[in-house]
Amino acid sequence: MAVTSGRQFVVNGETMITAKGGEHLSGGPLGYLTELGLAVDKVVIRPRYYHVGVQLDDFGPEAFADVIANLIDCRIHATLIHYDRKAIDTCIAESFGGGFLPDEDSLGTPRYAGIMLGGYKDYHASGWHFTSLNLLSPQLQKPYHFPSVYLTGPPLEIPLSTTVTALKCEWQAIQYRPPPTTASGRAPFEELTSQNLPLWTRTAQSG
Amino acid sequence: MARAFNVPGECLVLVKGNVASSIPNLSELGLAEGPIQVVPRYVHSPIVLDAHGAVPVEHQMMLCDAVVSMRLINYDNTVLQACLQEAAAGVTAGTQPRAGTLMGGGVARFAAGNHYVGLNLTSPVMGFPYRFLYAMIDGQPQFPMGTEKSVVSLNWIAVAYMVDPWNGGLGALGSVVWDNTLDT
Repeated sequence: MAVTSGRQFVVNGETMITAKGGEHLSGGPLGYLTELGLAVDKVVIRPRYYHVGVQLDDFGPEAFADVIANLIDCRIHATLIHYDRKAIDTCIAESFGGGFLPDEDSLGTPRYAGIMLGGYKDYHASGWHFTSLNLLSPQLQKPYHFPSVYLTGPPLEIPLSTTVTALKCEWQAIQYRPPPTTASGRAPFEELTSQNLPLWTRTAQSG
Repeated sequence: MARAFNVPGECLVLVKGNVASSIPNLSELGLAEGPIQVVPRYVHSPIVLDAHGAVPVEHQMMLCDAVVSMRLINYDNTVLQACLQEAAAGVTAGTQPRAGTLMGGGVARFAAGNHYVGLNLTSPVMGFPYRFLYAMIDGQPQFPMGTEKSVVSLNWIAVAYMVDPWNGGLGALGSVVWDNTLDT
């Protein structure tokens, strides 16, 4: 029987990064689906898989008898060179729990230690400080959509000089669990579960 | 089309800068001592597979630019100085702009702040002129000083500048390094 193959050279194409934040950003960048920018080089996605080995005495002290898969998170690395400055400032502010909007100068001032980025709020609700991130794929037509990411560092590098500033950014994506709601619209008390939470999907946000 | 000896003809160099430059209208730069060399530079990225050893099995076309070299012998020095000014991002030739000034400036062709120059090479015999939409004098022009006629060596680099490099998701598709229609 003939062996068939779907092998090909894979070219993602010109990878624009778009993002959207919480409702409290309404009227400004990330209050709507915003073009963050284009990278100087590859945008790199690095999923991190967490596994715990199950050991049995019968299998000796090193080899695992089985492995438990404990979910994954993901790092997305991009060095942005043609980007929206205010959108990036807003990303940075949201990553430490939100700055004092709309005061642009205060976007570098965290409010206090201990802010939860999700805060048990729904995706894109007011006060939800994660960001959704999209990596577009105009040639391959298989974009990445990360529903809940935050800008992290290191590395977050902001070089200042006479040459064009190439911003080295790294986002962490997690499987954030928004609260389920009842018919009345109020969230019932419910234990957080990790089931069926997307870390990423392959359909870009459209709005 | 049939084979023939191709003679472009007497090649006059015409230039046009942005509306705020010293050459806002199409201006004659000059005639060359010898042939003007148009050298497109095609960039192809090889794809190597271990299964195919060290020889590329496929290539990716990674765009092109062009270098245009000329030795001008009958030229308008005022227009030449204007081209040098634009090559220095709009400051008088011999002075410095701010380091890092963007040549395109994020604005459209011929808008104030876009220091690329339209470089036109006529072709009166063959009828196949060249127009480089976004060109600039690059590298080391040479200006001989002496009692003999001055033959100025210029190298231009022409690129496919875009105001928005994202281009609605099309990237560089459709951007123009050169075409064969002269500026007016």
